[in-house]
Amino acid sequence: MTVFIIRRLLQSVIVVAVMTLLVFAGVYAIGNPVEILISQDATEAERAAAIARLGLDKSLPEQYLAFLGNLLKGDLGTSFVFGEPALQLVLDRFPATMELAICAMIIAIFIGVPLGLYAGLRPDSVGGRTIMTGSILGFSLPNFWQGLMLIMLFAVILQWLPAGGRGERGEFLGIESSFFSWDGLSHLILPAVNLALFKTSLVIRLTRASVRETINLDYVKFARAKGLKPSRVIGLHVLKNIMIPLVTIIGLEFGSVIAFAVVTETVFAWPGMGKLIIDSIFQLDRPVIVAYLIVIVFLFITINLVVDILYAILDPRVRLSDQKA
Amino acid sequence: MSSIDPAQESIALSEPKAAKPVPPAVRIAKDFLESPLAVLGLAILSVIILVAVFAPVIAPQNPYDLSEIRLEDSRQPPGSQRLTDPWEADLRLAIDPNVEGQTEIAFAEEAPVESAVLSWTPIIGEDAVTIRLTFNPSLDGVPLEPLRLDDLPRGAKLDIGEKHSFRSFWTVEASDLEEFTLTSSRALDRPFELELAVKATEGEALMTYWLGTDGQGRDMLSAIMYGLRTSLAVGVVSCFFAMMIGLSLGMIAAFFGGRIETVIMRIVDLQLSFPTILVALMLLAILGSGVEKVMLALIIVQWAYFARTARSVALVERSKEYVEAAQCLALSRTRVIFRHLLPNCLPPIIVVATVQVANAIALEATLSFLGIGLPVTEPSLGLLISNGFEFMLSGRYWISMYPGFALLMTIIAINLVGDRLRDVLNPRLNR
Repeated sequence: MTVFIIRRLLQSVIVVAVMTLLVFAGVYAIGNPVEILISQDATEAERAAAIARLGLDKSLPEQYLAFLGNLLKGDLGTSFVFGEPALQLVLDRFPATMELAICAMIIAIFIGVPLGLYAGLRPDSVGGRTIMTGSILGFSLPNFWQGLMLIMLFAVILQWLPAGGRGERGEFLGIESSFFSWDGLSHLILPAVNLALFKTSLVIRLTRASVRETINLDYVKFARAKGLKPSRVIGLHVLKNIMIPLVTIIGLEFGSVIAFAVVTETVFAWPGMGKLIIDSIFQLDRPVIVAYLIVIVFLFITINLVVDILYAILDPRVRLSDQKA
Repeated sequence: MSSIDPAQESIALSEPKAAKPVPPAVRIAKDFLESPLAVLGLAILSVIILVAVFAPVIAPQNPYDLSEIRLEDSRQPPGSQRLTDPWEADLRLAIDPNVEGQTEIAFAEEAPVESAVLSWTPIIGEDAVTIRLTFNPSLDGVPLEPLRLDDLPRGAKLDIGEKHSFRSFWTVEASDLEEFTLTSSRALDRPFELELAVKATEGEALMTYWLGTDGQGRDMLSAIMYGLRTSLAVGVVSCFFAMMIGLSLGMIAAFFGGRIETVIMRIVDLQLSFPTILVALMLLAILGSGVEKVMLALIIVQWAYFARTARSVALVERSKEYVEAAQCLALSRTRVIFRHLLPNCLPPIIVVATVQVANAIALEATLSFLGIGLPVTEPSLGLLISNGFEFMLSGRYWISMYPGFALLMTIIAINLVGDRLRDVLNPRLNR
């Protein structure tokens, strides 16, 4: 197990290196870094000082090393717009995005798994077919448009929920979050549903496929033959075994939820990282763009690493085959 | 739309054995038409493609020709009409009060009446004249603002209508003009000219905005047709290039193996571990926006899917006897790859391509919605939806709802066709 983790860690480090190299190449080599990293209205003296500080007068490999060094120190420049350290700015928005992503994942799991279970147990029933057709619709609906329709229906026509913004945050055990205040929750519902819909379809399809595969296996037949109640067979024997692929995919999809949050946050004016990056692209606030890219790359690689390790813990076959390879 | 797409679940790994003497194209077409849902999808898709191709011909207006757009028509709800400017005419009624007379007045082409006949009879012994003005055809059906009769000779007054409290004109009804009398307190012996201003309250209907208009007053239906054109073009073209690159690299990886394969597949794995939207966002954040940059981003995002599929299919195909036979004939490597291996790998690639076109269209729309996609000069459906966003909160739903429907229909139609194609081209499901 330790060998496996170490190997995966090493792989992740390589990927981080490659990705930072790519971001570096994109920002420093393709574009003109002086224009990208230094504000347009800086004076000549400021400009010269910044060039020296950022080491832009040195050769590219040296610059890359300097970039990595600054990265390790957490210094990715100062936002032109906010005048704050870019990395700090991105990290400040991180909790809002996480809140949204977690909430969306919870919705996707709690709606997707039961529906998928039903569709898998009764694939030819009207209900099962309806669920599957609905999931195709869920895949096809463009995320942003679906968000607009949610706003129109629930905020403009019915006026049940607010159309955007984050609302008040409550405090519980020292953690500040929208989960703990009614106003915050009401602001959270629409964006979370918007973000969850696509993943719900995915979870439904995945659960259904796993259930249909598992239900014919011998151990399930044996459990039935023993005379166990159907609810126990499904709830314990089937559900436990379909959890392995489900947990993996849900883990991996968590990253994609964070990525898609860019769209949801723009539609619902949710003050998270995604909204920040889009605003920064418009305002050409490039230090923030770089900081966001670095943060998101780290996040992704961490998620992939954690999921891989979890998977290996859950399913011994994986680490065995990996050791052989 | 996501890192997982339905086409990857099951991919045809080998060609069906030619048991029946039916040509494969006929068999595929027959199988395809068995599913009513897929046929529906194909029908919708055909209509959409036709609309996109012939948009300049069938669209009611060219939404990007500024001379055809009127700002005062902005934000009209669906079904409202585009009207001409209200009809307006200034008639000069030249009258000689000394003798009886008659003149005919002709109107311009666009006027609702063709001509008018003016006749007058002096009333003997009085300083008065009876005037008759009849329109042909009559003005009854035309909604008019109150008529104004001006330039009366000094001291004259009418027996109809009402004079303005301090200005010189009289307001009269159109029906009163059939016969009225002008009397004067002074001697009425010189010819005079009355001025009659006729103005319709509203213009005639030129066209109907079936889906309403947007903030600039352009017809949504036309804008959607043009938007479909842009969206489809970007999706198909970028997908084609992605397919070319992915196919070549995938085949190379499968055929040569070794280090080349490792490098290519590592890049594929790395890229597929990030969601497409994120990769595209990163690229556009660095590159900046523009048509060619969006297409480049779409190609970079998509080639990996093709490469992965092409490699897995080619690996299976490579070990087959026909490849060995071709190699035994001492054919060149390129010839074996492109003339023998490639055609046999195509069916699953076609399935991936269909689904990827839908994904490309959705991704492009998303990017355009976020404002980092296509520029305003080439608006795709995503940009149309984005433009309607600001009007949505005030209840003007049509500006972003209908382009969204168009987008949704396109994506669903492509997905339905792709779903069925996968079943049809997959020999494992063959009965």
